[in-house]
Order: sequence, then structure tokens, then C-alpha cells
Amino acid sequence: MSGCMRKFLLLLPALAFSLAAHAQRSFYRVYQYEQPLKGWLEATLWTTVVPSSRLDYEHFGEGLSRNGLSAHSLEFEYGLTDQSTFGVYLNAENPGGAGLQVSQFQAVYRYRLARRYEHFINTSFYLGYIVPRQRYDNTQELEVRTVLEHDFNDLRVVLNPTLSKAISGEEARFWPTTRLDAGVYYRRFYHLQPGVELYNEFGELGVFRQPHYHQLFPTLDLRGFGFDLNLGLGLPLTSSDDRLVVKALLVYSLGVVRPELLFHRGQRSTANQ
Amino acid sequence: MVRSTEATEVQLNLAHKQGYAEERAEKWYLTHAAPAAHQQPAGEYIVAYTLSAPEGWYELAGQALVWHPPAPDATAHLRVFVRDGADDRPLPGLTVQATFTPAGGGARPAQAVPAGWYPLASAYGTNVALPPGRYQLRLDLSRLPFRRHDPYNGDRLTHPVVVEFDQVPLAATLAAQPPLSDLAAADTELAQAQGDVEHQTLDALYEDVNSGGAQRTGDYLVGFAVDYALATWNFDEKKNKFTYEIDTEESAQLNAHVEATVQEARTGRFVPGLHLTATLTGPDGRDLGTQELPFEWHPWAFHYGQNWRVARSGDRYRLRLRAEAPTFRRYGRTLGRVFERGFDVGFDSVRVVTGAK
Repeated sequence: MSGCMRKFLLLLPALAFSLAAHAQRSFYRVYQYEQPLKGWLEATLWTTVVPSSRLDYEHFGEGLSRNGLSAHSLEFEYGLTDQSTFGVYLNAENPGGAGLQVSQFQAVYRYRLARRYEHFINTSFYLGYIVPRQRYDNTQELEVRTVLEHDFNDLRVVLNPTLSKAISGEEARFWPTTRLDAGVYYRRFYHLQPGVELYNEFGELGVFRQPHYHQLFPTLDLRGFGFDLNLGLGLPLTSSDDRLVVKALLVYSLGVVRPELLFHRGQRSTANQ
Repeated sequence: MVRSTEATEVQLNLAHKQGYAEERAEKWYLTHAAPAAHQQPAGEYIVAYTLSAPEGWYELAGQALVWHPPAPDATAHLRVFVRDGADDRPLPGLTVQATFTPAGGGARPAQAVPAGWYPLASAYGTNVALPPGRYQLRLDLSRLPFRRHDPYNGDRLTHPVVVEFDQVPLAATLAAQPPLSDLAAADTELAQAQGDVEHQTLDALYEDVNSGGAQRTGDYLVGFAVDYALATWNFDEKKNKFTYEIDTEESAQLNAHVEATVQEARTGRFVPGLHLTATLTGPDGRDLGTQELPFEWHPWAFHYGQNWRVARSGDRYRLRLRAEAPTFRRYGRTLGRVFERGFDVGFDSVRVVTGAK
């Protein structure tokens, strides 16, 4: 057995732990084709609470329990064109009441193809760049997500196949990890829309016999007064998942931000003949 | 205006063509009324006025059109053209008020200038009874009251505008001249040009939506366009501004948009100012109700429209469109005799595909 192979075998348990530690995510959202249109600004407050978990995770170099963890993210997304948006996120974590600390910064570019319904499947792409605080983690990550969506009368079905690749730190040498998030929503009514979301993580691409994670979220979208509140209750489908997760996404549209509209709208005009 | 989810470059170009055709007709009026005519950009509008010979008009009285000659004391006809500064299209449905102030001061009471149907162009107009002289003409224009389709371009024309024209000459000889609406009979190709562009535009609209078409009935060419439901900018009385109501975008509560287009059959010009209703009947004969279709501003194809809820995508429905004869004044002794009746027209086998944009 060569030295390299021996080192690899010795590293395997560490790799498995590493994947487990990073596989449990803090934020849950199935992205839809809809996104802020040109000139529109949208704010989203993400909150995830883990009331019950047997899992550990790494927080600023410390191994902590996910039990009692709460994670928050504030996002602003602006429509550059009707097809593309740019968003920034600030993520923070509070493990078991230890105090809220900013953990990551994230920049996201979204691009959608065509107009809605122009094709059988409405398709868009999401490119995320995650930069953690140095003390939190030294792994910067790229995330590529595809949004595939189709409406069947009042039902909307959405799939988000996703690839994540660490581009710095120790994990940079691994293949991308794969995820498939899916959602089905009953959209008959505006104010109340029940749905089901399924989050699946399959680990590193091409590596077999590694733990998979599957969580099922019954969700409820409540809309009114300009707000959209997406609530979900995460239930584990494998023993490697948190026992219970509660998520809430509060979305508020800040309207059109177009500097040119601040001038020359209504005015008095005089003509001398 | 710019490309948006509601308008491609090609479609916006159609709006410019409409504006150009309208502007040519407006120029005809300005040329024939000179020197009592002027054009001025104001806010997001382009506003022009003409003062010409007093005009008679047809107006609906009961079931028939009745000719109203100008009042004996009328000394001029004030015509006001309001176009969108972005694409030159005429803007219907505004509230326009005119105030004349003689050179020596002492403003006359403000006078309403209602929308009228002129042989060559869309305009607002009324006869005035003022002694000859020079005046300052103040025009108060309301915001465009209609709801708007476009999430980006729809947030325009939201503020009232005041335009003042100084040194407006009112000649003593106007009353003895022939009305411009009668002279216009010799230049109807200008109206026809607007109609040709309108045909092109509506053909593009019928092509763009899920289902569309038109048929002639009486003085009208009535069309329909059925597409996915969509959100609109609506005027919020409490906030005193237009807000974009996304209910439709974010649910399937309303899942189709039924639009109607109405043209004058002779020229093809778009007919604004109608009270129009639509009735949808399902494939099983079930009536899905009757709704009013208000006028809707659109970045390239004005129409009447309303969101709807239908049970299933892909079914074929019967669409019935009805309107009473319009109440606006029709100017021109010959060409003004139009729209004596309303219409009641049905379209069978209209395919409705559901969804919300």
C-alpha cells in the first residue's frame, strides 16, 4: 500500500465527520422562478430554529450541539433586469443561547430564462458565493442551483438541483456536493398557501456509501399587508438529521427603486408663444 | 420606456409607431389652427392646444345621435392633445380643465375640457365663449387614472400636471371660419394611418397571448385577447399613489386575463371611453359571470381588461363582449356620425390557458 493511500485511508473518518458537520444546513428555501423584477428591491429575513437535535456542529472552532441553535439571515435582493438579480446576505448564528454572532456573508446572482410559461418548464439559475468569517470557517464556497418550475393548474411543483463546491480551505480538494430540494405548493388562494418541501443532501459527487440527509417540511405561506411569511416544520427522514427544525422566511417588497423617477414626474410647465 | 416583462423592443416600437401616426394627425390640427396653436412638454406628457372655429357635435340622446350646432355665443373651439412623452401615444381618460386669463388679468372660471372623438385624432375639446384678444391659457391635467400592466413602465404618468401657454391669440374671425372637423374630411388618410398601426399592434397582441381574434360589428371592430392573469398598478386612494398589487402574481386565485380591444371599423383607430362588460361561459354551459372590463394602460397595446378565475386550464369558453354606445361627443358633421349603437358580440371556442405572470 503506498504512502499516499495510507494517508487517504487515515483521513477517511475525518472526511466523513467533515461532511456530516457541514451537511446540516442552517437555512431552508426552495427557490422559485419568481424573483424581483427590474428596479424592484426585496428584503428577506430568514430564521431557522432547531429545537431538538442530537447532532453536533462546528461554531467558531468549537464543537457545539445543534440542539437549541437559531440562525438568522438578512437578505436584500435587487432586480438588475427582468431576468437577473443581485442579492447580498448576512448570516448569523446563535447556538443554544450563547449569543448571536455574524458567521457568513453571501452574494447571489440569479438569472432566469425567457418569460414565465414561454417553455413548459420555467427555468432559472442561481450562483451563490459564500464567504465565512475567518474565525468561523476558512472554507469559501460556490453554489450553483438550478430552478425548475411548472404549474399544474393550482399546484406549483419546483425542483432545485444544486451543486456546492468549496473553493478554499481544506475542503477545496473534494468534489462538489450535491443537493436536490423540491417543493409542491397549493396556490389556489393568495393569503394562505400550504405546501410540502423536501430537502435532500447526497454528499460529495461520485463518492458512494456516505450519509444522505432527507428532511420533509410541511409549509404554510401567509400573505398580506405586503408581507409574505413562509413557515415550515422540518421533520427528519434519516437518523442523521435534526429531530425538529422550524423555519420562517419573512419577505417584504420595498417597491421600485428608480432614481430617474424622483424627478420630472408632475410639474408646472410654461410656454411663451 | 424600456423593455420589460410586458414589452419587447419590437413591441415598444409598435407603440412608437402609434405615437408617430397620432403626432402627424395632431400636427395637421396645429398647422390649420396656427397661430393659435402650440405644443409643450410637461412632466411626462406632451401637451398641445389649438383654438379654431367653434365646432358642432353629435351626442347620444336616448337611443339616437343628435347633432348639436355650436352655441351662438361660442367664439372658438379649444382642442387639447395630450400624449405620452415617452412614445407619443395619446392618453385618454384624463380630467382636463382650462382656465383663460385675459392679458389685463382676471381669470375666467375654469372650464372642463372633456374627451371627444375627432375625425383625425384623439383629443379633449370644448367650445369657448370669450371675446377676441390675448390670453394666458392654463391647463390642469389629472394623473392618468387607469390601472397599468407593466411592473416597470407602469409606474409612470402618476402625477397631475399644469401647463400654461402665454399670449394665446383668440381671433375675432374664428367664428366665421369652417370647423376643422369638417375640413378634416379631406385628409382622412391621417386617421387611416393610425388605424393601420393599430391593426399591426393588435395583430401582434393576438399573436402574443394565448388566444385572440377580432370581428366586425356595426361601426366597430371588436377583438379579444386572453392571457395569463397579471398584476397591475392600481391607484390607492388612502396612500394617494399607485401601488403594484402582486396578489395575482403570487397565487392562482385569478388565473386568466380577459382583454377586449375596440377599433372604429372604418379607420381602425382605437375607441377609448367605453363601458364594456365581458361574460364567460364554460364548456358545460355554466356561466362564469359577467365582469366590467375597465380601460387598462399597457406599454404598447391599450385595451380593456380584467383578471378572471376559470376552473381548468385548456378548456374552451364562449366570450361575450358588450358595450353601450359611448357618451363622448363626436365632432364633424359627416365623420362624426358614428357609434350610434353599442355592440354585443360573441366569440366561441376561446381557449383559456391558466396561470399568473
